[in-house]
Amino acid sequence: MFRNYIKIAWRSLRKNTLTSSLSLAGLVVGVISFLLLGTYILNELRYDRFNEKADRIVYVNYSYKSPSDAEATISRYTPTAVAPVAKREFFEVEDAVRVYKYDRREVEIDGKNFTERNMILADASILNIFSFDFLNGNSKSALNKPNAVILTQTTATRYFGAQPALGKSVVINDNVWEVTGVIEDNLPYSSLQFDLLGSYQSSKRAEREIWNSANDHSYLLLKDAQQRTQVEQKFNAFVQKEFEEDFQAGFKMHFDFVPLNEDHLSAEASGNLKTYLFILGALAVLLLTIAAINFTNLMTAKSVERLREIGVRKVMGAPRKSLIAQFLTEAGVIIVLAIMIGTLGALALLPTFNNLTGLNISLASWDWSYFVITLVVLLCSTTLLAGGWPALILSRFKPATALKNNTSSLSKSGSVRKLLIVFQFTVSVVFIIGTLVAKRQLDYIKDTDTGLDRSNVVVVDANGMSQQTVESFKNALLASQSISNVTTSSHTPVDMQGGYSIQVNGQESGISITAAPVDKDYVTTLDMHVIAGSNFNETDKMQVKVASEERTYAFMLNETAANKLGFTPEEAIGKAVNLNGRAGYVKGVLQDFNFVSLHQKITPVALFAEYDWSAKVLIKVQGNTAQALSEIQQVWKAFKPDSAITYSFLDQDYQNLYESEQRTAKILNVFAAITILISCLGLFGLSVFMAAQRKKEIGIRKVLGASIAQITYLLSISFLKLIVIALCVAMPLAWYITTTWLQDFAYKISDPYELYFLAGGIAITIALLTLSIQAIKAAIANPVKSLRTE
Amino acid sequence: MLLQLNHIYKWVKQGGKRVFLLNDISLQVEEGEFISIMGPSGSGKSTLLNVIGMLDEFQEGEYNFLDESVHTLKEKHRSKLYKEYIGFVFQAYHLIDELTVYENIETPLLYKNVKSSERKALVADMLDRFNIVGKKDLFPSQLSGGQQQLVGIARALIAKPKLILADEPTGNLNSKQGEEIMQLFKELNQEGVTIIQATHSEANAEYGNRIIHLLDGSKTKA
Repeated sequence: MFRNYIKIAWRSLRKNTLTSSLSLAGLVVGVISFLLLGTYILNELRYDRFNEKADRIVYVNYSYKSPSDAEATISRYTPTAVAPVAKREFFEVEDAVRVYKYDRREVEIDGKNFTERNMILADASILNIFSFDFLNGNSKSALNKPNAVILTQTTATRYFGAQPALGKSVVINDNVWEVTGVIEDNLPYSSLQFDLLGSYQSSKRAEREIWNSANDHSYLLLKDAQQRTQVEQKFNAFVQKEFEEDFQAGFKMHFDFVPLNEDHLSAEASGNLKTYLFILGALAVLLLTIAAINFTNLMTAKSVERLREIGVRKVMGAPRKSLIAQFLTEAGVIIVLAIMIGTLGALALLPTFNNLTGLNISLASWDWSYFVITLVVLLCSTTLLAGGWPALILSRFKPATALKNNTSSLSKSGSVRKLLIVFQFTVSVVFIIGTLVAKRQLDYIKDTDTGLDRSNVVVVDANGMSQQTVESFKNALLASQSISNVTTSSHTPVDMQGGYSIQVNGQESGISITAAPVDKDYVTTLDMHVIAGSNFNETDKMQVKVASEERTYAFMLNETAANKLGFTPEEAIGKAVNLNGRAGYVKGVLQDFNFVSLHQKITPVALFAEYDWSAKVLIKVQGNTAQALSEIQQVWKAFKPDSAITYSFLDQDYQNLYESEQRTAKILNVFAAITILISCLGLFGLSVFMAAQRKKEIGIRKVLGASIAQITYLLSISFLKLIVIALCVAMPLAWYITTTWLQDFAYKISDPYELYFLAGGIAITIALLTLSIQAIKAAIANPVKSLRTE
Repeated sequence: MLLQLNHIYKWVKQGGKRVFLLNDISLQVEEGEFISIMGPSGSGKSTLLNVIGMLDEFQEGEYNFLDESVHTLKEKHRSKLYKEYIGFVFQAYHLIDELTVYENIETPLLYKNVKSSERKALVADMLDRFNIVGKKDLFPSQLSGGQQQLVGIARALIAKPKLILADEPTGNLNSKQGEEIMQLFKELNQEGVTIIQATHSEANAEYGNRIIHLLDGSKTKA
C-alpha cells in the first residue's frame, strides 16, 4: 500500500511540473537557509564546548588600575605569573596554561620560506586541558621540551607535502625547532586558532614569572567547576596580600575567572552576539516556516482539483485513514526530496557563505545525531502541516459531494490560506525594513565624520624600536613619494584606552579622561580639526629633553573635554592643567572625534606631545596603496632585518569594532532577499491556482465584455488587499524591533520613516509583478476554450 | 431479496422551504434483477442511485440492504457494506488520471486489503475478460471514451459485487460504444449480477427487465 502511495505521489509530482517545482524550489531554499544559518548559530553556541573538560576550564580576565587612573583597564591578557602561581598555590586548580601569540614568524624549511601569521606558544599542560586530535606524535609529551612544535595537518602538508612531518626540523626565526606532533586542524568553533603550536619554554618569557606586564592568555583547569567563584576569591586575596604595599598605594589588580563555555557569548568578547544569534535563529525558523506555508498553500489549492479523485476513491471503498495517508505521503515525498537537495545545496554553498561572513564553518559543526534528528523533525513537522491540513479537510467530504466537484464548501481553507499569506508578507516586510535600517545605521557609522580621517592610514607596530630608530624610520618613510605623512603614538585612535585624570589649576577636582602621548604631527596625519588654539610644534615635542620636573606639556583636548572642564573651546586655550602629574597648558581644542565604537558616547580625550612613547607608527599613504605597502616593508627590512613587520589599516581596525554588526548585516541582507523570493514563489503558485479555479468565471466575464485590464485587476486585487494588511501589521512590528536595536548605539540615525515606505513599495511592487504575470496570462486566454471544458 | 426502500424522503432547504429530491420512494429489488430508472434531468435518478449506493444520506424512511438496516448504520459500517457488495459505474467514468488501467482496476482490491498475488490474478482475469490486456499500462487520457468506460466497469466488477449501480453509463459515449456497453451489462446480468441503471434513453432502458419512471423525485408509474 505504501509503495502505491509513493508511486502516486511521484506521478502527481511529475504531472504538475509547475507547482511541484515551485513548492520544491521554495522548500529547498528554505532548507538551505535553515541549514546555513543553523550551522552558523550552532558554531557560535558550541564554541569551545567540544573540549572534553570544557566545563572545568576558566579563562582569566585581568583588570588593572594605577592610582592615577580614573578607571580600571580590563584586558584579556594576563601576566606570565598567573597560570604557574594559580597551579602551585591552589589545590583546587588542577592545571593551568599560558598561551602567547607568537605572531608573524618567518619559517624556513629546506630553503623554502613561509611567513606564519598564526603561531602560538603554550605550556605543555595545554595538551591536558584542551582536547586535540593527534595524528602523529605523543599527545601527552609533545610540548615537554624547548623548541618543540606541533603542526596542524594543513600546515604539515604545506611544509612537507605527503611526507611525514614528525621528527622533521623547521627553522623559525633562525632557531631550529623539531616537529613533535601533527594534529587535526582547529575546529572552527574553537577559541584556540593556530597553525603552529610551540612549547612555551622556547621563549625567554618562560624564564621569569612576572606580574607587571600582561601579554598571555591564561586558562585554568579546575578540579571542580562548582568551586570557580571560591577559587577566584582566594586567588585575588592571595594577589592582594602579595602586593599589599601597592594596593595601599592605590594600585588595584583583579582577576576574573570566566567559564570557558560562557566566554564566547559574553558581551565583553563579542558585543551583541547573543542578540544577533537570536535574530538569525528567528530568521532561520521563519524562512523555513514561510517555505512550509507556501507548500501548504499550494497543496491545499491543488488538492481542491483532486476532490473528484477523492470521491472516486471513497466510492471504491477507501477509508479516511488511507486518504490521509496518501496525502501525507505525497507531501512527504516532496519534502524528502527538498531536504536531500537542500542538504546538498547547503554543502555546496558553505564556501560562499564562509566567504560572505569571513568565517570558516562546516556542517561538521553539527553533531550528526542532532543533524539527523533535526532533519527528521523538519520532515515530520512540514509533512504534517503541509499534507495534514488538506488531508483533513478533503477526506471529510461525502463521496457524492466530492464527485460533484463542489468546491464552495472549501472556502474555509481559503481564509486560512489568506491568513498564511498575510503572515508571510508580514515577515518579509519586517525583514526588508530591518535590513534597510541596519544598512543605513552601519553606513552612518562608516561615513559619519567622526572628527578624523581614518582612510589610507597604515598602522605599523614599532615593536620595541628605540626612539632614535623610530625617528630615522619616520624620515626614511617620508622620503617615499607614496607616503604623505608619518606620525607616532602609543595608541591608534581605534584602540585608545586607559584612564587618566586632568585637573585645571585652581579647580578643586579633575575629570577622568582618556589620554595618549603623541608625536607632533599626529593631528595633521589623521586630519583632525583644530577648532581653537593651535597644533603641536617641535618645541612641544622637545620638552621631553627638559628635566621632568621643569617640563611644560602642551595638551590638546577634544571639545567634550573642554566642556566638561567648564570652558568653551576658546576659553580653554592657555589654561594651566595637570594630567596625572604632567604639568602644562591647553594648547588647542579639537573637534570631537570617535576613537571607540559608536555604541559609546564620545568621552573627554587629551593628547599630549611626549616623545618616547612610540608603540605605533601611523603612516598616511597617498596614491597606490600596494606600492606604498611594499616601500614600507622595504624600509622596515632595512631597520629591522630580523623581524617581520606587523601592520594593519586604521579604517579596517575601526570597522572591526563593529564586526558582529557587519557580519549580521551581511547575513541579513542575503536572507532578507531570500525571504522575499520565497514569499513570491508562494504568491505566484497561488495565483496560478486562483486563475485555474476561476477559469470559467473569467471566460464568462470575457464573453460578457470584460477587458483584459479588468480581469487582471479582478485577479490581483484580492491578493493585493492581503499584502496591504501585511504592511499594516509589519510596520509597527519593524518599528519596535529596529528602535530596540538602535538603542544600542550612542550615535544613531533618527527614525527613518522613508525606509518604511520604501520597504512597502518594494513588497507591493514585487508582489504585483508576480501576480500580474499569471493574471494577464489568464486574462488573455480565449474564453471559448475555458468554457468548453464544462 | 437484495434491498428494500420504504418511504424514502430526501430534501434540501431553499429559502426556508423544503425542496424534495426524493419524495416517498419505495422500492424492492430482488437478486438478479436488471432495473432501469428513467426520467428527465433533475428528476432524482442520480440521487436515488446515490442513496441506494449509500454515498448519500436521506432524511426519512427505511433502507434495508441484505437484512441490514442501512439508515441505522454508522458511516464506517455503511462504507464496509458497499465496499463489499456494490460496484459503481459513472457517466464520466471517474477513472483516476494518475493511475494506469491496471492500477485503476486494482485500487478497490487495495482498499479491501487483498493480498498482492491474489490481486494480480484477479486483475489479470478482468483484463483478459474485457480484452484490454494490451492497454493495461496506458493512462486514462490515452483511451477512447468507450475504452475508459470498459475500464470503469472492470473496476466496478473487480471486487465481485452483488449489485452494480450505473449512472448514465453510456451518456458520454457514441451510439455504437453505448450499445456495446449495454450488451455487456446484459451479459453480466445473465451471470447473476444485479444491475440498477439510470438513463435518459428509451432504448437503453429496454435492456432492463423492469423500468422505474421518476419525475420531480417521485415515482410516476410502477
